[in-house]
Order: sequence, then structure tokens, then C-alpha cells
Amino acid sequence: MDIRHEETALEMPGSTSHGPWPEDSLARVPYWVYQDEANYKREMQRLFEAATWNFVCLEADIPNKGDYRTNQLGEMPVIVVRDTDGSINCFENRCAHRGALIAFDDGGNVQNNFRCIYHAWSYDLCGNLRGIAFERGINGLGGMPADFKRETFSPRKLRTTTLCGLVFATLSPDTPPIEEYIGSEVLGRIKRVLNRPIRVMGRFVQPLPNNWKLYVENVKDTYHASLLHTFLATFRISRLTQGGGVLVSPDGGNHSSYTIAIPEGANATAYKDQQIRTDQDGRFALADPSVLESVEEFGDHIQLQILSVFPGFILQQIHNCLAVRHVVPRGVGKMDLVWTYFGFEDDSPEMNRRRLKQQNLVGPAGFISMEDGCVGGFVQRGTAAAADHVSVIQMGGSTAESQATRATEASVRGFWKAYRRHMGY
Amino acid sequence: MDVTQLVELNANYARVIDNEQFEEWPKLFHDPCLYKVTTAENVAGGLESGLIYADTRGMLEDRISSLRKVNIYERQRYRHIVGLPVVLGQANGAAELETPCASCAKARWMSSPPAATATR
Repeated sequence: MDIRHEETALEMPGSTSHGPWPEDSLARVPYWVYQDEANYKREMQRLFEAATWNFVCLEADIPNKGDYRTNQLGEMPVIVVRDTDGSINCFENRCAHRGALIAFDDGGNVQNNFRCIYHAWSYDLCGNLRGIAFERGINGLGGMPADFKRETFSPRKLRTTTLCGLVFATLSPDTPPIEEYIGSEVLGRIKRVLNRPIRVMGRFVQPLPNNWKLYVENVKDTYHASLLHTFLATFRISRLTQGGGVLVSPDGGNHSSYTIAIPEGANATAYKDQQIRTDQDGRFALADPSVLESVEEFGDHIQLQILSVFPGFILQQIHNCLAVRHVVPRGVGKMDLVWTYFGFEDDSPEMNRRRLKQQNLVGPAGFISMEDGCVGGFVQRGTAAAADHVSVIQMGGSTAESQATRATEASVRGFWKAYRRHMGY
Repeated sequence: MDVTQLVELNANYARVIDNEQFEEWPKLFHDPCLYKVTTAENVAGGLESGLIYADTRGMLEDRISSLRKVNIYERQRYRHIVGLPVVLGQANGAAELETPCASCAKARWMSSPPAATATR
């Protein structure tokens, strides 16, 4: 039954479970946000189950009627399913009877209805409760009361929207249309990549030993990439000295960073001059460099683009390696990163092979990205005794606007701008 | 082909990894080859991607040199428990095998050693 319990009472606006936010600056963030249980619960209510668009699947995951995937909005389990008329429905994956999961697989096809395994109550593709096993009992005994109204006992329904083959869902009636929510600049960068029908190539789940926000910040952190990841700097996949920049949506929550394949000019020796570890040019080479052989695919010389939509969706183009990533919180200090690699329906066999090889670059075992799998845990462990201390997020200033450089933390500050607004901090 | 030889190959394969003689590992492959780490779900769904995907011995060597020289990660120790191979077919001196394998990893940051299973 749809009765919302009262949200945790908060005394004053801006007050948190740890008292007031320490400083009114986007450039300072207290470490308790990665540790505090009460704050985590509030995130579920205020971010994931509120006025945000949450990625639930790709349209290509559910092409036919009755095809479904299960996913989570924060910790809230949902089913997303293709309806008879081709539309997409999403509803809470919780039986109206005793609360069991209605569907417990990652996905599949159900034809016309879902049936809970516990007591065989059934639901149509819209999530309406349709059938109750032995509703009238047996021989006039047992069964449900005659005045029981099924229609008032359905799982909560979510609004869905599609964008370029991506499917998002929201619990709130107030979430603005997806185009407005994302903002025109970042929206353009989604359309740039997802410009025709895609084809799923593989899915992987990477458990990470850190709070979910540490990963989202990592994705938005354009400053770290070529300083942490040797492959980016050594093979000039992305250096701060190459062309590029970062776009941040007006509300701060969404971003797109990009690297343009142009020579570094006067800054060509900047990494060497500072003895940056990740510049191994001339010292580290590949026996088979085919993993780096890319082709210009989108006609604009952008060889790397990382994009995020608040709170937990990521779209990646690194050379010809394309993927969406979904951040799923698993308690305050753990998360799952769900990777879906894709190509396009019209890929040639050569392009398919190229993508398969380049997928070595980015993923749970990616040459580039494996460092991101440990660095969030380093912060989680490093800050264990520093709940009331703050991190310094001040590269490129203290605001969250788009910038024509990646030597900035503007989009990380953008995340905190959106986070604090949603959380009421 | 004698099954003993196949069992020996599997045992050597696990040994070079568990003893961290990683440079010996690519030598156990032909060139070209196909080495892929994926999930049962991807295989069942006909999805081709791999967590690791190598179709030349050079790509396998690059995995090792990259781990040795440039990637940043926390060291783990492995112990592979290799089961008996099922011989699915043999022809012209080649055999098709499926071998169950459990791998235990231990690292300082893990509160308890996880176990994974795989076949190849």
C-alpha cells in the first residue's frame, strides 16, 4: 500500500545529521558524507527516490513486448518492462502482498504478466495487481474479504522517459522533462554519441569498496585522469595539455568532459618537466599496439568524452570504446558499478573487433580504469578518522561553470552544488 | 592426445600465476590465440565482450608488462584450485577442454578472502 512514512525530521534548513554544512563553499566537502548512515538514508529519499532521473536500462535491453530488466533507484528495486504498445513502464519490484521481489532475475521476458513466486499474486505489464491466487478461497472457506480492492494495492509506479535509447525513471511528479533536466550543452554531447541504434556487447558488475559518491566524483574529476592513469598520459589518449574542456549543466549535476586530438604545442614537455609518474613516453611500449588503433567515428576529433547525469549515470566514449556505467549504492561504504559495453547496429566486423580490443582499455580490468577501482577505497580508508575534516576541491576556482580546460575541478563542485540543493544542505 | 598432458598443462598454467612467474603465462598460448574473461550471463546471451580480451600473444604480454610496470593497484596473492578437465573433443592433435577452477585471492584490504569460480 502506498503510504509514505514521514521523512527524518530535520530541525533547521541546512542542518545535516552532523550539524551545519561546515563552510558555505562548493570547494569544501566534509568527509562524513562518505561515512554517515543517517545521511545515506537521507540520500535514498532525497536523491534517488525524489526529483531526479535515474538510469534504469537501455531500450536495446528490452526490444520486445514483455522484455524486462530489474534495477535499483538507490536501494529501491524496480522493474522496467516493454509494454504491448511499445511503451516502457517502470514500477517498484515489491509484491503488494508481503513485499517480496516480484522479479528476481536481472532480466528476461514475461509475455503478459509478472507473478510473484511467494503466493502467486500477479501483475500486468503496467504493474497493476491483476490476480490473487485462491482469492475466493476453497469451497466457500478462506480467501480474501469480498470488499478487498485490488486496485488500491499495486506497487508504486514510476514515470519513465527515453532519450537516445537510454531509459530513465523517476518517482517524483515534479522532475522536469529530461532535456531540461540535463541541460542543452550536455544533452548535445549525449546526442553526439548516441546518434543511431545501438547493440549491447556485454555487461559486467564491478563491486567497489567505497561510498557511491566517491566514484561519481572520480568520473567528474577531469584533473586526476592523466595524473593517475599512465595509459592516458603515455599514449596521449587524454592529457591536460591536449585540447579539451569540461561542460557543466547550470544546476551543476550533469557534466561532459572532452579531449580533442590536437598536438600539445608549447606544453609538450609539461609532464616530463614535472616528472609526472604517468608519462612513460619512450619508457613503456606495447608489444601489440592494436589495442590503441582507433578510427575517427563522430567526425569532430573528440577522442575522449566522459559524461554524467545526476545522480548515477555515466556515458563514455574513449576512442571507439563505448559504454554506459550505472552507479548502484550498496550501503554507505560499498557500491556496484554496472558496465554495459555497446556498439552500433550498423558496425562492420572490423569495427566490432576494434571495439572488443579497445574494451581492454576501460572496464573493471581496464588498462586505464583499473586505478579508479582502488582510488575510491583509498579515500574511504584514508578518511576513516577524519569525519569532521574537509577535502579541498579548488582547482580552477570555487565555482561550477563550464571551463575550456580540464585542469579544474569545476564539475566535481557542480556535483556538490546539485547534491546540497537536493539534500537541503 | 594423452589426458595426462592436458592435466599437466592446466597445472602449469595455474602454477605460473600463483607463483607470480607471470612472464611465463603468455608462452602457454599459440599466436594468434583467443583469451577472454567474461561471465556466464554474457556467454548465454551471445554477448562477445570480455573484461580482458586478447587475440594475440602480444596482447597477453602487454597485460603482464602493464601490471608489472605502469598500472596502480593493491597487490593480491592467488591460489588456483584446478579441477579435472572434461575433454569435449579431439581431432588432429588438438583437444577441446572445459576445466572448472576456483581461485582464492588474498589482499591486505580484503576483510575475508573471496572465492571465484571459472571454467576455461
